[in-house]
Amino acid sequence: MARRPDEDYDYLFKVVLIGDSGVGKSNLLSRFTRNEFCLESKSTIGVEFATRTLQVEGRTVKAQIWDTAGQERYRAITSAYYRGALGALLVYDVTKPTTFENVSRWLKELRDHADSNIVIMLIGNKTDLKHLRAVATEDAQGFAEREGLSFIETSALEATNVEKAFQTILSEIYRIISKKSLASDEPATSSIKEGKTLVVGPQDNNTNKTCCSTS
Amino acid sequence: MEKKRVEEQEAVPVALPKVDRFGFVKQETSVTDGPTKSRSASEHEREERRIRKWRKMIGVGGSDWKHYVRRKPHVVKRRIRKGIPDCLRGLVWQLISGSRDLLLMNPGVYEQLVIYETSASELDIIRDISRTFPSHIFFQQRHGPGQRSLYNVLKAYSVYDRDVGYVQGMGFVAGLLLLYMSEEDAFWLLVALLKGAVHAPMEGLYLVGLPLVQQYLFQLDHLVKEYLPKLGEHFAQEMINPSMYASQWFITVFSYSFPFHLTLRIWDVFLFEGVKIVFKVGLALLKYCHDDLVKLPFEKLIHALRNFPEDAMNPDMLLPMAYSIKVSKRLEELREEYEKENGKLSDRIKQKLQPS
Repeated sequence: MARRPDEDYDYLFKVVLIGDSGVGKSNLLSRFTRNEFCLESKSTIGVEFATRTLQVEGRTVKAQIWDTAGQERYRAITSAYYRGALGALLVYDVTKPTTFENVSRWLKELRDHADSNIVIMLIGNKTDLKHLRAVATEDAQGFAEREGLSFIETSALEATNVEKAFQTILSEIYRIISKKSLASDEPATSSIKEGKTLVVGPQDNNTNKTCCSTS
Repeated sequence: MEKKRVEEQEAVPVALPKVDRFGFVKQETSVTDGPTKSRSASEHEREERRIRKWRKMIGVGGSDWKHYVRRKPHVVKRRIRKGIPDCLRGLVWQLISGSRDLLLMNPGVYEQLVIYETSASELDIIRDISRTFPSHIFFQQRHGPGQRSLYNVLKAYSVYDRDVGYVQGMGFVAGLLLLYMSEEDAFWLLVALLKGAVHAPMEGLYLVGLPLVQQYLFQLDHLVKEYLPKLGEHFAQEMINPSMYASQWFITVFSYSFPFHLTLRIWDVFLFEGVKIVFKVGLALLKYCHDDLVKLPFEKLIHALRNFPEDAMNPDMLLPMAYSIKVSKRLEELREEYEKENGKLSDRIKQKLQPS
């Protein structure tokens, strides 16, 4: 199967977006993949899907992101999508404490259905609603540390930290994958499909250039 | 010509948003919203004749409906498949579903539910109100009559049927009904769909674990493989399964993201013939786009399955194609097969309802 140039990538990483309904998962996805935000978006029914190819640690990574309906009733359908995911973005709404309190339940969901070494990032979204904030950054930060998750606050509306959130989790996944392949002395084929590698020159030189840039 | 148009615009007193004939706000770029092209005199005459026929069939206020259905079910089926006249749609939907009877048998119940009862789902419902048909003028105004009616119907239902409560997706169904009938009528039609005594085409759909959705997806998966083997094989190769594209078809009966004029036509048939029309329309869509779909790789395939081309969604082409696909027998066999592995639906429901 011939791949067209725009589909060239070194790695394909599957990532799931989870969290309570209405925390802004779909808008985080549309901000990241299309740089769009929709104030009048419909609630997600079932699952949605989008991709974006970007540079991570000097490698071309295609992020394949599954956006899931947040309502508990839908887990019967959505939990099937955790399988094979290398990363999970667990989103809560900084203006709604219950969505933060439910983070533990989502972690349990992941433990029950996802691969055990999945990289999890906690995301507090909607920081643009400053006057309505009800979950303190420190509380979430502390929780994330205790649970061993990375943590960031974002605003999909203002496009704050969205790029950084995805960059960070993809970098983390990349580091784990490349470490694993180093340890097992095999090429990194653990992602679903292997893209064409070694298109451009010496890749090792690229590392410091693109490492976790803050865009 | 250009000048005239400007003058016409100036004559409009308030800058109302441009809406299509169903009330959806028009996108600047979109030009099509179904058959809005000016009708010729003969078409108009034909439509008038059709409405007269329908009026005669249902009688004043629907008084002759039951009698007619009993006497000539095939005529009714054929006429419904051609589309219920829009001006009679709300009434006929209530007649088909039997919701009128529910309303008459339960005077005052709806009001009671709306005014006096509280629901555990209230916050969930509120959160989704502005996310239901956000591009429809009736539902756009914050706390306006559309949003209030939608909230009332959903809240009342979540109290009336506490096992189901409120599930995302119900809003689109309720919203669709509210565009054709009053709040109370829409509520009882929702009840008829989900709990009706005669036939409830959506019963079990929204229960915990979505047991019926899972069964439908299983059935569709098999039907695609059998009916469109080449595409079925391509789906298997690309690891596409129906939950990736068809969950919404079943959960909202095509009301979530399909062109509204098509949604309405599907609903006409759905109410009379039941869920098999969802399978038929789904298969017809896949069949129509078959030659394109079999060429697409995973990602493009998913995109295509969620964004069918406009010509595929023309009801006058798609529906006859759907009617020609026979699924009843296989659906029944596949249901039995599914139940052999997963237990009967009633048992699956009972199991799910037990507190874990």
